Amino acid sequence: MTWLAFRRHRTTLTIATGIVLSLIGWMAFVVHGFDSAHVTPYLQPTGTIGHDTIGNYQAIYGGFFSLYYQGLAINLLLLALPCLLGVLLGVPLVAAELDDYTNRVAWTQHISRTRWLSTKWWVIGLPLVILSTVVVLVTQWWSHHATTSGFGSLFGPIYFNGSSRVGPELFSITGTVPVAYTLFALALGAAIGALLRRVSWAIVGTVVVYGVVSLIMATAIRPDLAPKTFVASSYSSSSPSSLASSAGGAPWYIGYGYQFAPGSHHPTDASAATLGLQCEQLNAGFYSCLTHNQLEWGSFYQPDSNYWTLQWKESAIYLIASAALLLFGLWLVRRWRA
Amino acid sequence: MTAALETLGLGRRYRSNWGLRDCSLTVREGSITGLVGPNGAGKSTLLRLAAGLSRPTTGSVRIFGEEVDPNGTAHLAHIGYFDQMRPLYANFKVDEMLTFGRRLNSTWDDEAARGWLAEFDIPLDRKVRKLSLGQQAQVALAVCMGKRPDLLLLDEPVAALDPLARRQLLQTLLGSVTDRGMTVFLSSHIVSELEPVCDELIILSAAKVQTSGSIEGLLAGHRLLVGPRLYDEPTGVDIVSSSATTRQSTFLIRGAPPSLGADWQVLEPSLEEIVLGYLANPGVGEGMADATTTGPGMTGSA
Repeated sequence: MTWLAFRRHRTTLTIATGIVLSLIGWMAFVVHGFDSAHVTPYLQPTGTIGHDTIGNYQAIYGGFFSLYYQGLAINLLLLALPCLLGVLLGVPLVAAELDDYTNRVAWTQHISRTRWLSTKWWVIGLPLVILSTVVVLVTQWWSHHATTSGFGSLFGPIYFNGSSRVGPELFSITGTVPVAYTLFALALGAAIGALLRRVSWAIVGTVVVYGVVSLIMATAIRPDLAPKTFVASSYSSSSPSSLASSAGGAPWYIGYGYQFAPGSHHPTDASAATLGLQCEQLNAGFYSCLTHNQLEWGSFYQPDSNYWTLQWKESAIYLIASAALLLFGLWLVRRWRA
Repeated sequence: MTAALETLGLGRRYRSNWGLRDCSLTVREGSITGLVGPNGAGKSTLLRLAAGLSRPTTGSVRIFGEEVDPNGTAHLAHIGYFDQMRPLYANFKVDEMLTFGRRLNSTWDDEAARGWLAEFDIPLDRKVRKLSLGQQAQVALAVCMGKRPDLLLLDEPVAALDPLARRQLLQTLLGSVTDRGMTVFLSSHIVSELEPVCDELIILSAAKVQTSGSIEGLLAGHRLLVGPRLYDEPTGVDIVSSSATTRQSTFLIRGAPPSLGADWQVLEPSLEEIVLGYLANPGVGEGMADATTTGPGMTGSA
């Protein structure tokens, strides 16, 4: 069965490997561009920015095909990569067989449907885990190198994706979550493929569901996966920048909100957020309403120090969801009938 | 004697309509049993149920005495299944289809599979998608043969073949079966193809078994009555179908012919005439099949 699973899916596995290798090559090209851009000014230590550096500035920021925009494009690709791999390898896992009726020949040999599907899982899943791990390692090197070395060291860091590693752009392409996303996309593609039974519809379904889930995760779930930091607007001493420097990296700004003042005792069960919203209704009496309810208003942040907590928790959520989707796909395959 | 295939009250419903309904039949071990019926009669449904690709809505299906569980593997050791769609991995080479069979089966007879392909001159290094439909059918059959099945379930195996290849295939099949004591259950909508190779025949129409029995039994148990135009059907005879021109009436009857006037002729119908007679009247036969069932181990629908 291992032979069949590999033989059946080797074309898509080859394409996936090709995509990942091309992406890595492109990242290396951009990093090399930044490194070369930085060489000239350092060879001429005149203390002023010379003509060459302006040329370099053009190469980096000027035009649509400049290194900066290439870096942005790579970022977008890295964000989309798990979904792309999931569609490429997950959707055909079951749907392509139902599309070509080849499940009928496979399921009438001397092998159970459970073994048929579970062998496919690991024959596809294992290479996917390896590929996405390689991508994450290269991304760590790339995002560090491209933002701090070479040209960046002269003009300050170049950020393609915001300055915070807890922020949504960088968070989603570093750490452990990209691997979890990839497995999730694989399981999702396989399950939707088994449900819709058509490759074309399953591709659309997988992309839509993956996108919606990512959005919900980034906006509604991730902000609360670890304790948020609240910075009251009245305390000028604790501005976000000072928070950043004290925590070792830039925080992720989540949004403004309300919190009970320290040491306050509140008579009602209503949450600070509800009371705050009530106060917002009273335009003129806003501040007195806040004082009355012993509320502070300010900004919520996820500090840089929560990075790994957020990574582990979100990875765990995605892995549990993947396991559930795999079992759902298996259930669909077992109850499939012609 | 155990039956190779036995169904009891077997039914399969697709949403609102029945693909197969209340089907009870037995395929005797060692026999070559044909399944005839028009398109959409439920032939493929019956074969898929037997292969464990489908699950019964009602009743049961047993292979060599064991109930078929679509998620189990017990029945899979016994069967070789040829699907109507002839599904194969299009980008596999013929040789790789044999590797597929060898890897996915606990017993595999490479010689039998290769022998079958050699018989029909199928190149082993050609991609499956580059083969003609007839050649693809042969590859699918080679995989079935390599499996060394006790029961071959063939759904329209000759549909894609030209007349010459049909005869060759059926003869090769006959040879392999008698050599190895296989049971064959094959479907077709063309009766003339089945007659020379089959011992027994099951007529399926409108999701139900109409009649079944040995071919000799069916031939001996039916008569054609041809006589002057009658506007009412004669009573006291078991009429399967009737047809009429302006001057002449023809009745296909079951059982012994009644004594009629001198202007009536009693003829022996061909198998095709019998089958077409049943298929023309899907309501006929159900519940009466036992009367003409003469094949050993065969029962009509209950």
